Amino acid sequence: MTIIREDIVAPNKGWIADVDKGQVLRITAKSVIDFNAFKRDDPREYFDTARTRIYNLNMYPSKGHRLFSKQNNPMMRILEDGFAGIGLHDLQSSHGCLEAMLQILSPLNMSAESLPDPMGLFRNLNISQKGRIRPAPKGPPEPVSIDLEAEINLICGLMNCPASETSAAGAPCTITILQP
Amino acid sequence: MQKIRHDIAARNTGWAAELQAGQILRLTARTIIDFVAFDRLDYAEAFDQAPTKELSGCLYFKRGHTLLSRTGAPLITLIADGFEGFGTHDLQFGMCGRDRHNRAAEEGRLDEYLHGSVMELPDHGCAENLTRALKPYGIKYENIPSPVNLFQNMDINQATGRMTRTQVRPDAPVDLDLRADCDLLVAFSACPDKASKTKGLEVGATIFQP
Repeated sequence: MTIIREDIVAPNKGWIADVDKGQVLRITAKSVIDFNAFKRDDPREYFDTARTRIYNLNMYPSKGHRLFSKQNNPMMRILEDGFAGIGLHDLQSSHGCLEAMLQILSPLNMSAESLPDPMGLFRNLNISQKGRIRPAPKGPPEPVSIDLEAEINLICGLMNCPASETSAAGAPCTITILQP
Repeated sequence: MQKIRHDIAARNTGWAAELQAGQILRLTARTIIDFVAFDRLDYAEAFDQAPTKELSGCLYFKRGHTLLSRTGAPLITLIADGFEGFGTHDLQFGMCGRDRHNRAAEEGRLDEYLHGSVMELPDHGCAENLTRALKPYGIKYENIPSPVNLFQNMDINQATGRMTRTQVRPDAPVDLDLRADCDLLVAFSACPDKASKTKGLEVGATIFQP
């Protein structure tokens, strides 16, 4: 695969870019990454956590799962997940860095009310069998990668969250767009 | 309490109404209800699953829990739950609807989603019902939040995350009482509930002034 673009994103900073259909977005991190995706042709179609849980019939996103839009269409597919066996990604929480994320997504003219809930990559939660949810930060000791293949032309935005009660580490992350 | 209004929403239809702060909405049913709420002064302040779960620290919507807007404003609180002890209300799923059913059929996954691979699919579902019910208020589908799915009892494996629909519903209609924490617009769909044995039933909606 050819590297189209690679960026280092510092803690508390964000990133936004176009990802074309067929390209792979590789996120390499040990900190929590809040992630959103929008259909480029019509950003009113957006990645939706509830639709994604339903289609995969699973509350944790992992390898082989697809990300779905509110409008029931596939947006991305998880090709590889280096966090598997270390912790679980999160589809339950709201944005940890709301103001900064709105700033990053300013080309899309989002408001706090219209910003969809994110996928919280590397944000491990402890969910008990009775449904009790507790933050349980579990960062990998070294950065690991998750590979997401775009199934349509997308605008992807993310925040590299600083260390907090839900994030084990605040550390730089690497964002790569690959062309197969 | 004084009864302000009483309606029966037929199976696979939608319903919407305004509530004043302090009023109580009683939903009487034994079937899945997809329920949403909006701040009446600003429909952009809509119910959101994620902050609701963050405040309650719970995967399910239980008695004493409050539905929050995306920015964290309290909207409505579950003060009595006739389903308590029998099953849980869901905060994982979205809405059923024609697109959703068609995709499941295309993928050959109807049984996985709906307990049965041979069934007549309705030409509409909760997505269409809520869209229709909220149209007079100018709220479009993309701005209708993923709902709280009342009486949608799920079996969720904590370790693997695997979610399985169950057919656990009340045997006879029970009441859920929800107290408005501010002036609200509320709406619901009486789900066609294809996963249940009944395939959906009517829902009673009563508004009380305490």
